[in-house]
Amino acid sequence: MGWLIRVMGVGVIFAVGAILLFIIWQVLPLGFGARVSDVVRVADVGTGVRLCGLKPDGAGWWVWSETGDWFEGEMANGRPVRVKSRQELLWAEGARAWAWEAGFSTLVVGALQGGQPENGQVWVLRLVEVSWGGLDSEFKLVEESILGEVDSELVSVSAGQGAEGRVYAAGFANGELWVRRDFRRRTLVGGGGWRAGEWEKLAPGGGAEHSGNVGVAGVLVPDTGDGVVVLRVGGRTEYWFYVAGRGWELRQIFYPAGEGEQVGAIGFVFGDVSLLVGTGAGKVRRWSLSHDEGTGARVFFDVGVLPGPEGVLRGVGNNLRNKSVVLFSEQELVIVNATTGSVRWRKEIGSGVSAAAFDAAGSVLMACGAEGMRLWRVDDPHQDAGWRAFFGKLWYEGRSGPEYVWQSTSGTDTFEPKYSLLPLIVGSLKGAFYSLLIAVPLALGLALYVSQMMRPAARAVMKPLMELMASIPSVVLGFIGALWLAPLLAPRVPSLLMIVGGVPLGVLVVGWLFGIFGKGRTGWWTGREWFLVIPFAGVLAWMLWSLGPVVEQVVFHVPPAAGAADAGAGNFPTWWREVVGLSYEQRNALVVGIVMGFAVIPVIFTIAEDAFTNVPSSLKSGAAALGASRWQVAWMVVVPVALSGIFSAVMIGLGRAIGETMIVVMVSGNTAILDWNPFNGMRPLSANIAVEMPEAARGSTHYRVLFLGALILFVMTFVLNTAAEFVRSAFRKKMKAL
Amino acid sequence: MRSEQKNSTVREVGSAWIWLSALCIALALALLFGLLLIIFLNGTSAFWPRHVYEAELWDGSRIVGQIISKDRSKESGERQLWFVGNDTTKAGRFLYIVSRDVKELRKASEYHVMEPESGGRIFGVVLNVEGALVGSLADEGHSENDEDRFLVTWREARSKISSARLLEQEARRKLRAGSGSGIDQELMQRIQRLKDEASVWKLIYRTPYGREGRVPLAEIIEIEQISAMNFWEKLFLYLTRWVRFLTTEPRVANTEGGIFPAIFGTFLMTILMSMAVVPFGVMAAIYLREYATPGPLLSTVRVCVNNLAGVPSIVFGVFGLGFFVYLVGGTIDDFFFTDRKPSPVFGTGTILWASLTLALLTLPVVIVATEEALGAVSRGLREAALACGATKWQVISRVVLPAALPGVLTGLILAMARGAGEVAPLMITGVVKLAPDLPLDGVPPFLHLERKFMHLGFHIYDLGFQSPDSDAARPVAFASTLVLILLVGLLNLAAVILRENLRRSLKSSTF
Repeated sequence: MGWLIRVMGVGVIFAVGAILLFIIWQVLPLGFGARVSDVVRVADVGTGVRLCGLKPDGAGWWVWSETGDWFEGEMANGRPVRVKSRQELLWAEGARAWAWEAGFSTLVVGALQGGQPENGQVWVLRLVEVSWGGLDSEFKLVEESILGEVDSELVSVSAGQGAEGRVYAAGFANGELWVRRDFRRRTLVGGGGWRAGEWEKLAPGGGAEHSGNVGVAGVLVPDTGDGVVVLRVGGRTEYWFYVAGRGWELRQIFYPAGEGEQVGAIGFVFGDVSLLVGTGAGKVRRWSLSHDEGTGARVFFDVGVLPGPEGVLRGVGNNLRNKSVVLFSEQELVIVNATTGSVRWRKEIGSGVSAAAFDAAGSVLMACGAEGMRLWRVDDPHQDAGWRAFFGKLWYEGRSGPEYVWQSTSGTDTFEPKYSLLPLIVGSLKGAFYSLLIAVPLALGLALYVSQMMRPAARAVMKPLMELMASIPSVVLGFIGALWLAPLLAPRVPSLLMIVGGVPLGVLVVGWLFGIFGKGRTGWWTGREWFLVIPFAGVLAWMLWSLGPVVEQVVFHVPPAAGAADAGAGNFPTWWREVVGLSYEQRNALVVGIVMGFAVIPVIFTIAEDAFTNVPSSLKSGAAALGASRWQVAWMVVVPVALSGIFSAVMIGLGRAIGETMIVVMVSGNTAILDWNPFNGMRPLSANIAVEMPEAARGSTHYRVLFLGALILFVMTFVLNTAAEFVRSAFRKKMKAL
Repeated sequence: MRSEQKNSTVREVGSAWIWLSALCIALALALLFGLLLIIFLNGTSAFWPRHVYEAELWDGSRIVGQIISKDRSKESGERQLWFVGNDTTKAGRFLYIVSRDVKELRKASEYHVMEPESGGRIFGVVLNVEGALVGSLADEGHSENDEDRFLVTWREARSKISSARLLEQEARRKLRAGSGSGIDQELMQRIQRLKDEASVWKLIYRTPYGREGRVPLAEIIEIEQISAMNFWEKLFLYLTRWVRFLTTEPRVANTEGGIFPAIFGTFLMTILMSMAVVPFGVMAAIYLREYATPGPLLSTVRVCVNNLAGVPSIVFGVFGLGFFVYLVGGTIDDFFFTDRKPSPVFGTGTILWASLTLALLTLPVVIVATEEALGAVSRGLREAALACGATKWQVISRVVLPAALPGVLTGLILAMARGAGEVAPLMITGVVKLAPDLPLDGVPPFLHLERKFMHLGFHIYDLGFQSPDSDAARPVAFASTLVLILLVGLLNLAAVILRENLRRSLKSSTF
């Protein structure tokens, strides 16, 4: 039988340790980079590949090269099955610039009409709709639109389709920029066809100071169908915006790499809000659209530097799922998350890369170079995780600056989840801080009085009462706190503040007077002072409570706005908002502090009382024999000796407050804000897990981040408790030695 | 002389600090008893029959209803919260009336208060029952005979509708078990017949505003002329309501009806948890205390086990979800329930996983309590047993364990109290706001470990925070809170009493 006990006993203890290991095991994948497996190589896909891509159904790929060769291939189970090449496609004649617009499945081709330069340089833009199919994708030339005569070489074309309009842009080597905007025909039933607009020539913007080489290096049209980004050879970038009724306006001129610096290539991140620009020295800068405080317009802001591939950036490929992009230079391929800047994968390609692309899901990567085409299977479920994502200050798209944000889910497709754990950790600490602010003085005073002053009979009642207090389920506390206490306190904050300040002061004064008039004698009241305090404090508290609104009128008077009539009445929430400038909510940290304080008081009390009681009576009676008063014995002998015990009590109380869940779920208001305002809510780690865990998909980044939150909670409380335990056992040993 | 003076000043000032620490007692007691008082008052008053009042306002309008509460606001002085029922002439079911607007208030004893299963309370004068031989009930001089007949009809309608429901449950069970081929037509017909028969009777009443209304008699749970009742009648009604609250299922999105499934779920979950935690906890404790070699490793293990009690409960919940539900449950589904795919059987939150999670959570409590109890068994007893030639295991099983039993029980009861009150880990491992079936019923295999369950603590959370009409849910929420507090309080009390007895017996049994 003994061996069974041994096995079971060791098993249970191991199982307990396994909890930590299991949680770590669930969290670990967050730290892994992308798992990329080399799948396919196809040697011959022509030379000078300019465009490549993966078909939306994931069953094939295509390549288009400078020479006008079109290759497409089929894949089955991730292996190439067949390849077919086609030449002399009609629409490819005279082509100089190409763009693949996945948003509306169209190949945009800028070409010289007639294919021959000697007929005068008349340029056309061809829109070729592609319907994918095995090896014989069909091309349909939807439109051939004549730009006009430009005596220069076409460098870049782009198109973008939004809800309202569709924009085409073509940039030339001499700096000319041609744009056209089509409008969606409005019908009663909804989306009608497109009404074609006119081609317009936009002159390089800016005055004389913006000179330099204005030749276009690249154009980009976002899929909002309302703007064009033009990159010029000199490094200058212009953001043109179409305003209904006014036409094209130059909204912004900026130098993404710094003035006078040359840039490599530009490209959008999924969502077309962030622009990635290659600069020298293997760096890539991210510029992101955000509201400008001054003009109110959305312009590009320099958001920061991302690690890029070695050498000059040649292109950017995005996917249609997340903010991961593939960046490539002549030598290297890099997958990087544009928001967090974490490098998911990096690969040196000796033979060079001329084009690279993701598939729509971001799970297959394709790159073409001199040695042909290669495909990789990319498995990167936690691409938006990383140290910087959890603890760093990040400039998310659409925000006005770098922030710590927790926002794990939202409705829109282009939304990026924001997993900063800092507001949650601060929320936990904030709740714990305010509850300890209330619980520590109360519980320690209680423990001191119960262990040192109180009569034994009353003490025998107090301890079970404290146990009763400890046993009240936190869901009950939260319920009462949120539905009874919070509405009660919301209009009476001044009363509460007055009680917090006034009652202890009043009791101190009365106690002092009692001492003076009683000449410090002992009597029946000795050890029963609490009996006297209760009615007195009760009456005082009631008076201050009723006096609160009167004081509120006078003290928390809100100065009226200029010109407005004085409302006369004071109001604390308004005062706090307008004079202090912080927000005020009904379910706030103060209420959390009171309710959670309730839960923590018995925890601290039990340990502190134990510590006070453990102080050897020889010390106490010695001090008393030397003429010390009861208070002197308590304050100058018991408290200093038991200091380490008090410390461990507070530690354990802190651990309990950090981990408490139901109270904060119900009372804290659950807003993930990073501040210490007592009249604002918060979202502690524990509440966040309880609220979001049911809706987190198993194995998703969100799920694992919640596990990470649990791990942080585990470690925080475990460290606190262990520290407290060691301090306490050291204290016990010391007490035994005394 | 001088030094004495100084000393006495210190003494006097000291008394101020003593008073301040005494204030802590006052505050703690105020917090504790304040909380208990709020729960007690709100919980006990939830079912006390409230009078029906009729108020005439100065603007000429008239309202009939029950006054729920009174409060004061800065702008308008005293206001009363009225429950006016589903009267279509008013904006909502609850109405704030400023007290000074009331011209005249009187107890309206002529109105019945009718509680239908859904749709909310109705106030009105009962006129007749359609489809039954009941004389007019509205007349002053209606005979007792009429009332008796009414009661008989009502009872019959109720019994018909409840047997129809029982049959429906059976049909659903059969359908789920897949034993019969499709729906049992005969059973469905019987259900329909019962329902039709029950719905023949309709209660006809006149609303306070003169409209005539009808409600199926079988739907009425309670019909009383509250304002005409004396104290004892009200007390009886009050107790009836409590019994009904504790024994029936919730209605109207949990905001009305009873909490029986929640109590049952809490109870069963706690029992399952105890079944898991006791053997493991006791064995671990025996190992730690009796078998393991003392040393730094053992004390580290002990500290860790101890500290596990301080790890937040939500962390256990997360572990339970990841390990029990997804890993173990998912694996069980993969091996044994492939035919039920893709809907999970054990791969989702169930009462089994919730119980095991709580068992892990309460394991340290049991280990620590058992260890203490084992340590408290006197050396003399052990040595005497060993001297008589008992083996180590015999000493433990026949001498030490029986002596430590009260201590183990104390630990178990404390664990149960903790488990019964814990909500956070359950929220992610198997609790639901409304479970269609109890996890224990008369259908083989009787104990359905794969079912989700209801829990008192979660019920309170749900009523307070996720209910569409939290005003209407308040009485039920407070009553549930009272029940939970009593449950947990009783368990703790039992632990305290047991521990005291244990201490006393240990004192007397020392050699």
